[in-house]
Amino acid sequence: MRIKLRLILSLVFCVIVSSLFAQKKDAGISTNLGVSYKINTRNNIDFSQMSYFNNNASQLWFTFSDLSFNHKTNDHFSSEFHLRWVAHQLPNESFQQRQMGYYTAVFQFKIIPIGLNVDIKSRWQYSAIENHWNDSFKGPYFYHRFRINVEKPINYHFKASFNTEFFEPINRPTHAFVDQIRYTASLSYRKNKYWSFALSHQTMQQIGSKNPYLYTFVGLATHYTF
Amino acid sequence: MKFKLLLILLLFAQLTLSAQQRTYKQHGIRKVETTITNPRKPDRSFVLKQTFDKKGNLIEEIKTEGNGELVDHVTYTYEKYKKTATEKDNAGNIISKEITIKNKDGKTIETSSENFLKHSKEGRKYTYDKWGKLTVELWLNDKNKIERTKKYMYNAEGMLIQQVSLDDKNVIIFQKDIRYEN
Repeated sequence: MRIKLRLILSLVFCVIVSSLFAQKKDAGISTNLGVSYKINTRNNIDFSQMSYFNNNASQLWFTFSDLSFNHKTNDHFSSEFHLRWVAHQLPNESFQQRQMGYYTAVFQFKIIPIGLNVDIKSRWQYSAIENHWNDSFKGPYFYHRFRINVEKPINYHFKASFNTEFFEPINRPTHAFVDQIRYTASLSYRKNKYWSFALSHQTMQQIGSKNPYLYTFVGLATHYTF
Repeated sequence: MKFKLLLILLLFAQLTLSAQQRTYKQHGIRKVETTITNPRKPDRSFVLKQTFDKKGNLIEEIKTEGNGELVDHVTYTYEKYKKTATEKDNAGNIISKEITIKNKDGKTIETSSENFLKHSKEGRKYTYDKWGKLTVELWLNDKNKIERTKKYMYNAEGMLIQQVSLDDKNVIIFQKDIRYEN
């Protein structure tokens, strides 16, 4: 009973905090299917397929495939190398191809007295729209993304987490310092060392635009590790 | 951005040390003397003197009885993944040596010990799976032959469910099965 109450309170807290700026312009859902292959205790290869449905979850906004190699240097530092292929649906219902490559440095530590795990991610990404042989090619766009994630393990199976991510454009003509902030609250369930699931609530807030967007997404994720 | 990175690097440098190393290093402690007094059994009272290097690693331990008689004198040396513990007598002669080798995850993968007084030697090797769980433990004799094998099995949640000991002919001599219930 105590554990169930803590779970419910954690989820409600996370949703409330992430909805503080609730001026809804659009809402949707996201789905994520991920597979991870553990080479050894320090290295793994991940593949995930993620889709976002906007317009009140009525249409596909974009979908992407992400392939990564992750290396854990020690208990506090790891590196991720990603390649991503994105299909972005345009208003005319055609799909625009985008490619992305990024490196993420992850720093992790625990706040033992209060049982919290913290990770800080510094992500350096390159992206381009269409390919170089296409007249519609745009880019490259460089971004630095800085994310702080705080996680509270409830027991072996459940974990609640909250993160804030800042998008810092490196080569945009607006010279903005931050042009987007994302807040994500999630509750994950680990069935065993192979399967885990997560429910999340994400808010995407555009910054510095005359008509900034504010999107909220409820996400469902499934992950298999072998 | 540079300030954020610098903060992260400083935090990271501190976190790579163990808790004890950090405490001793922070306080500049190089020697610790512990006195155990047992009023009911005075012969079991002893004094333990420990010496640490600049990194907070234990490099020497001297244990003496209440009357000052030497019980143990062990020195430790460290290479990247290897620790050597050398026990000496009063005259400085080596009594025994124990070598521990760890992998990059900090888990012990090999130990070897040699007792020069008893002329005995033994070793152990440890194997882990990709989840970091101990799966096989080999006990080796002085001729480096396998005397005993211990195998460990885990369930999907990583909990130990079976431990089996086998002799040098691979015959089961001991088995432990564990069952868990919510």
